[in-house]
Amino acid sequence: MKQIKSLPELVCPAGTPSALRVAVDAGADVVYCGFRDKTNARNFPGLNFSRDEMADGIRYAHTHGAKTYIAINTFPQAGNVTLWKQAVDDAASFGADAVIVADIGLAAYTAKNHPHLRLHLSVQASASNEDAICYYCDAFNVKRVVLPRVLSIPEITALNSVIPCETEVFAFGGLCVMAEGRCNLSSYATGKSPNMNGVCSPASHVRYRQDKDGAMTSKLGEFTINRFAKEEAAGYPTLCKGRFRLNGEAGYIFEEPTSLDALSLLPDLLKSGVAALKIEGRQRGRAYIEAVVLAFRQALDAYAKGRPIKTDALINLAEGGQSTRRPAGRAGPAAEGEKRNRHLLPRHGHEQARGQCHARAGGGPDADDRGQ
Amino acid sequence: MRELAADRTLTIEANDVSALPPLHGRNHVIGPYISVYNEETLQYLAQHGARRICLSPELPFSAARTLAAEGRRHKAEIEVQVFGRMPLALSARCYHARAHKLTKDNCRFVCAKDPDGLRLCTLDDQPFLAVNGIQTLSDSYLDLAEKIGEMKAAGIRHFRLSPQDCDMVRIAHHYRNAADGREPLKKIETLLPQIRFSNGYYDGHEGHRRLSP
Ligand code: SF4
Repeated sequence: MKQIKSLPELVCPAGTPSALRVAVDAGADVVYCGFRDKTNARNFPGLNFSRDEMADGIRYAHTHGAKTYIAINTFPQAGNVTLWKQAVDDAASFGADAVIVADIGLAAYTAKNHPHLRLHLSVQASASNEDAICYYCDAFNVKRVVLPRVLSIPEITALNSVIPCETEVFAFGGLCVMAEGRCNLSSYATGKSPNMNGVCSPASHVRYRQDKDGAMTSKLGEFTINRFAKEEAAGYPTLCKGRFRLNGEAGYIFEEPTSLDALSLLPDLLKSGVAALKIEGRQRGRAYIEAVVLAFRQALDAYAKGRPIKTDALINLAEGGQSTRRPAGRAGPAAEGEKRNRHLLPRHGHEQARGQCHARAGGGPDADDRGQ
Repeated sequence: MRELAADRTLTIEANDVSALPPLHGRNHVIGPYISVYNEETLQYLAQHGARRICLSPELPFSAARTLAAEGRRHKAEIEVQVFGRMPLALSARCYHARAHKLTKDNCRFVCAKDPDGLRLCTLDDQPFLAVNGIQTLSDSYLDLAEKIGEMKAAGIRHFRLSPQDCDMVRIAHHYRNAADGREPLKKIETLLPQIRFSNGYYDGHEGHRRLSP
C-alpha cells in the first residue's frame, strides 16, 4: 500500500446553512462561506450567512470535526471600511478557523488586531509568483495562499518548495479567465464588479432574446455576450466566456465556457505538496455540493489507501451541467464562424500548458464562473 | 527588478505586488493593476514608500476624493486616468497571439501590428473591447476633461493620458487646457470623430457609458 504522510484538506463551498451541513456530512474537511453582504465575492440574492447562521454553522462544523473558513474577499469601499473590519471581528469572535482576504489594508487590519486568527490569501489577490506570495507572508503573516488557476502542476510544485506558506488550489468548478481581482470587465458592461460588489456579470443585468430564426441571444447590459442556435442550450452570459468577433472570426475569444475538473489529475496534484483542494461554487444547490464533495472525498480516501481513483465520477454531473450550454465534445451549430475558429480554442500547444492550468476542462453550469 | 529598484534616479510604477518588496522604503508609484480601493490599503502602501497611486479606472470619483484626502495625511498623491482606453483585465494568455494563430512563446510580436489594440466586437458587430497582448481594454476611450476641475478641487493633482494611435500632442494640449482651467477650444469628439468616448465609471455607472456632465 502506498504510504503518504497526509491528505490535503478538502475545502468545500457553502452558500447556505443547509449546504454547509450537506458538505460537512459528505466529508468536507473545511467549509468556506461568507456573510450576507458585499464583503464576500459571492454576493448574490438569497445566498450567504447572517451573523447567527454563521455562528451556528461554525458550531455544526466543529461538532462534526470540520473547520470553517470565512471569505471576506472583496475590496473594502473607500469611506466604508468598517463593514469589512466588522466582518473580520465577527469571524474571529465566532471562532472561524481562518479568514480569506484579498485586500492589503484588510490583511493589515487582521494581522494587527487578530494575530491569532489564521489569515489566508484569497485568489482575488492574484498572487501567482514567489515574490508576490512572500510579500503577503512577510507583511501579514499569511498562512496559506489560494493559487490562481493559471499555474501548472510543475509550477505549483516549484512554488511549494520556495514559499513560506501553504497553498490551496482549485480542483473543481467555474473559474476566472482573467487575473482574479484585477478584472473590470463586468463593471464596464454593468456597473457592478467582483472587486466592489462581489458579483460578476450579475443576473440583474442579464437578458435573453428569442430571435426569429429560433436562436437565443444572451445580453449583459447593452452587449450581446452569446448567441445559441435553436437546438443549442443557452448558457449563462458570464462576460469572459462569451462569443465575440476578433480579427474577423467569431468564437470563444477568451475561453470556452467549460469549468475545471481535476479528479483525473489528483495523484499529480497531491504530489505537488498542496495543503488543500478547493471546490468552487458557493452559489450551487445542495445536490451539486453533495455529489462533488462525495466524489472528491472518495477519491482522496482511495488515494490514501493506494486504490485507483474514479476519475469519471463527476462526468455525468459535469455534462448535465454543461447541457445548459452545449454538449461536451460536440461543436454544436453555434454562432457562425465558430467552427472556423475552433483550432484557436485552448486545446493544443504550449499555451494550453500554461494557460489551461492543472486540470482538464470538465463541465458544470456557470451561473457565476469566478474563482474566489 | 532589484537592479532597477536600486537606481534611485528612476521613478518606478509597480503593477504587481511582486514588485513591492524591492521598492520597500523607497519612493515609488502604484499603478492601476494593484487594487487600492480604500484608505487602509493606501495608508499601508504609503507607509512603505508609495508616493503616488494611480487608481483602477472602475473607482468612482467619490472613492478618489476620499483617497485623495487620506493621501494628504500620508504623503501619497492620487492619479486618475482621464484619456484613452481603460485597462480592464489581464490574463496569462496572449489573445493577440491567439488571434493570429501563434503561440505566446513564438508570437513574433504581432501586437505591434495593432498600435491601437485589436478591436473586439459582439456577435452583433457592436464594438466592445480592445485586445492588446495579455491585456484587455475598453473599446471606448475614457474622457474626463470636464471633470478635471472637480478633481483638482478634491486635491487630485495627477492626470494620466493613456497614449493612443492619434495626434497625442493635440490631445495633450487639450487636457493641459482643461487642467489649467481654460475652456477647451474644441470638444474631444471633434478632435477624434471616429472614436467613441465614455465616462460612466466617474459617477459609479457602467464604464462604457457617455454621460453628459
Ligand atoms: S468571471 Fe468575471 S471577474 Fe472573472 S475573469 Fe471573467 S469577467 Fe472577469
